[in-house]
Amino acid sequence: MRSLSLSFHQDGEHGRSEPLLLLIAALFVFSNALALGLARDGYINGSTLWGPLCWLVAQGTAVWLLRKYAPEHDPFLLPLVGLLTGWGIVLQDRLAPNFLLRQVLWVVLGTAVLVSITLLPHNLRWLRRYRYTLLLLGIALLIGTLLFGINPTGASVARYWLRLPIPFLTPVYFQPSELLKLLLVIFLASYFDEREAALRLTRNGRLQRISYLAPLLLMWGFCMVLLVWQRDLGAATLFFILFLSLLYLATGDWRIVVGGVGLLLLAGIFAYFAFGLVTLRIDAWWNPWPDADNRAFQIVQSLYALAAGGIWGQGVGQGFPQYIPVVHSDFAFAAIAEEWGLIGSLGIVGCFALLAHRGMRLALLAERPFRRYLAAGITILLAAQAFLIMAGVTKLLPLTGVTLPFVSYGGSSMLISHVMAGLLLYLSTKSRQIYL
Amino acid sequence: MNNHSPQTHLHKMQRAILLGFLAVALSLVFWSVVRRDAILARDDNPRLVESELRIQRGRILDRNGTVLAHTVGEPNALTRTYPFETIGPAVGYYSFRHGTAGVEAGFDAVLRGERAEFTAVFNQQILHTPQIGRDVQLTLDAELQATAEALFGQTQGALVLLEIETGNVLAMVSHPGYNPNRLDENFDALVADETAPLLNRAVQGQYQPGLVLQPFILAAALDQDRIQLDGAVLNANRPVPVNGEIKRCQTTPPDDATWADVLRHRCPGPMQDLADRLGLGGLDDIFMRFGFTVQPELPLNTETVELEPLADPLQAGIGQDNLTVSPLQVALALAALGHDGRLPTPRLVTAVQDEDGILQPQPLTTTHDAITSRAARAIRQLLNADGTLSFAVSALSGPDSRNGWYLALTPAEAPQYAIVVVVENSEDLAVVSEIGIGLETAVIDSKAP
Repeated sequence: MRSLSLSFHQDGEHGRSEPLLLLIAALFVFSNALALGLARDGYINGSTLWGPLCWLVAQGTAVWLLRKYAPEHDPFLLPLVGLLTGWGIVLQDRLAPNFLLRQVLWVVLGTAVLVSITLLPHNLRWLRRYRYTLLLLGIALLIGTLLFGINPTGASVARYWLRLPIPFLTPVYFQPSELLKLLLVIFLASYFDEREAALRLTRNGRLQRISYLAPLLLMWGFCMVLLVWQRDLGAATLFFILFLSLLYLATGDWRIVVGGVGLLLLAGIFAYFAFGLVTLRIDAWWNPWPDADNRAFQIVQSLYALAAGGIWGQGVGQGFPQYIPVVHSDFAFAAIAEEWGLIGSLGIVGCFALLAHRGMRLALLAERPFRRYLAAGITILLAAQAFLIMAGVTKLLPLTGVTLPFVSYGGSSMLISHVMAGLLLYLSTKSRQIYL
Repeated sequence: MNNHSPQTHLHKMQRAILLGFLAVALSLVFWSVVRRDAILARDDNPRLVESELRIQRGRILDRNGTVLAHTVGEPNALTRTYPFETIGPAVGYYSFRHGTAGVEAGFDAVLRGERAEFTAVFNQQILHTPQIGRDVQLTLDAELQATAEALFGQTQGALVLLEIETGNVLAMVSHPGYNPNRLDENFDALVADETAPLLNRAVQGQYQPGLVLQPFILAAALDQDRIQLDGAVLNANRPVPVNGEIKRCQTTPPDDATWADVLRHRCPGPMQDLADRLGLGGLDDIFMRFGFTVQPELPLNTETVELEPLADPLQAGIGQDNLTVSPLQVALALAALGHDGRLPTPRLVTAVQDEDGILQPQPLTTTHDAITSRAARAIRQLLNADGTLSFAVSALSGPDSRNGWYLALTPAEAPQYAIVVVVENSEDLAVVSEIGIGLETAVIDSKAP
């Protein structure tokens, strides 16, 4: 059954569509890079082009490699990711040029990882086999962050990063919660794959189910406790959504969703009274205007950016998105709305909607439960993360500090997002008889 | 179809995801389109500041093209500069922090270069071409204005110099004034200053007129055949109590005084007799004819003052009732006496630059008849002595407070200009006369080639 008509013929017929889509993305990215140069310096110069050039080489190579070695991969995923990362590079140059080099490096590295994962010669059975080990590794890293975590900006809040002891020119920081996200998807997918039959066995076997779910609840609950302890509410919310969605997929019980949302609301109410950060975020969300120049400054500035953008936008380099604090990571979407207008911001929403659609399509077409859960889980993670930050920036929901996947500044997020996109592409190469 | 197949759940989830993105899209439309104008207009929006700083505001020129105000500097660091530092109240100010006043306020939209047509909006909002303001040319004469300002020295008061035929305002002084170049640093002190330097006294000043009204009431009464200039007046120098003071004629009239003597010697007593005969309705009509009851329309963005209706004809006849006047109003009324009874409308702007950058002359204003030319000429002849046509009087403006007034039409033989000077808290008419005569000389000199 296909409820959505947006399904494309696989293979042959649209074999040329991927390079074409990449070309469109490249035209968009380069014209904006040139426009940025013009707006910033008043004449055409090459300084804004090196980032997009690196990006183009990476994307071009990726498309070429994928078409050569995995011809039956999904032709939309890579151009979509490419458009978002290319846009992100222009945006980074616009908002925080001092982070541009890092952003470009992460995108190139991420693309390489994406291609490698898609073209993995062997199957991913080890992912399932060592799921507990992997998840425990992730949890260990998270505990490490809790103990030794720092904030690269030097701030004493939001210490979600670990400094990697790599002899690099500049220090490399890593955010373990990003990795944990990926490991949790893999864990949940393989867990549900194994227990699916039991979970679906009977409609009134609820007690039995709980015992089946116990290890799962334990592992997941541990992650949640750590994240809440660390006050990484964005990641905690994401984990919750992911868990709830996959549980619903496995059991088909809508009461789980209702109960879960109820729990989330309860937790929110509790957190509102217990944690200053949550109080602040919810107050600033409910009515930001009275506190516009103080605690609600960020969200109010974000709304100003949205309003300033209007339908057509101010044009790249010609708005004032820098008034939003840390605009280059958490509020990249508001900057897009200001400079590219409603057209641009709806374009971003559309990109993520299409990405989610392609991802869910992979889940629908998957022949094996693990592949189904993995595709659905990854898609939900990416879509939910994009949704949370876009909804936060537009005051639809309270702010949760997550990045806009592929667009915002943030190395760990960029890398893990690419890994997830790579896994989706890997799952889309149906012709290769991979048994996960 | 099986309700519990994974496919069904996946489809539901797919729809949930799309619904979520749809909600984001609607939220975007809400803020970027529906609530856009309301959000952008909030005064803590930093974009207002940024866009304001980018506007290349138009110039304000005097009637000869001399720059009175212009915007100079780099595109992102523009400053408004006024070459004549004492011009404050006449031109007003433009301050980023404190807004606009005077001509800067009255022609704000023109000076900012605001345009409504589609291409202009497109150029400014989509292509971000800088907003270029348009120039405004005033009737003021920079040189006469500067001379007039200098004449005041330490004196507190106001002055208006008009062209009687057109109503063109050539000079408009309010003293003490302020330096619009340094408004931001001095603003608090200016607001707190008891001498009210931010007030444009020439236009906004509300002065108790006293016998300043005398020539106008007599002219109208003459016009209506209520009096004859050679008609005898009884007891011209009789005492008149005002505000607990006793007022008599300014100079002693002859015993067989006529109405002409009443004017010459500034006698209050007979004015009360006349006012009694005219009644409140008659007085009201006269004041209306000379434009004292309405505020002259000038593009200065000033607040209008609502006057209380006249209460006591005897007080109203000597200018001590609820009617207050501004120097500009008196100057206009005086212009009517000088111009065969035709009351001009004041004019401050001669030309406004159009969107193609061409200065387009503004239409001349209309006049209307206050009185007949016969009456105007008769009063004029009466005021003409020794080659000057002037009327100086001291007006009681409250307990122990007098304002000196000097009204003049020049040149005396064929008037072209009306001058009105008021000096606050001044017993000595020599002070106000000196300023008036000084300006008269400057006007005549400036006319000489």
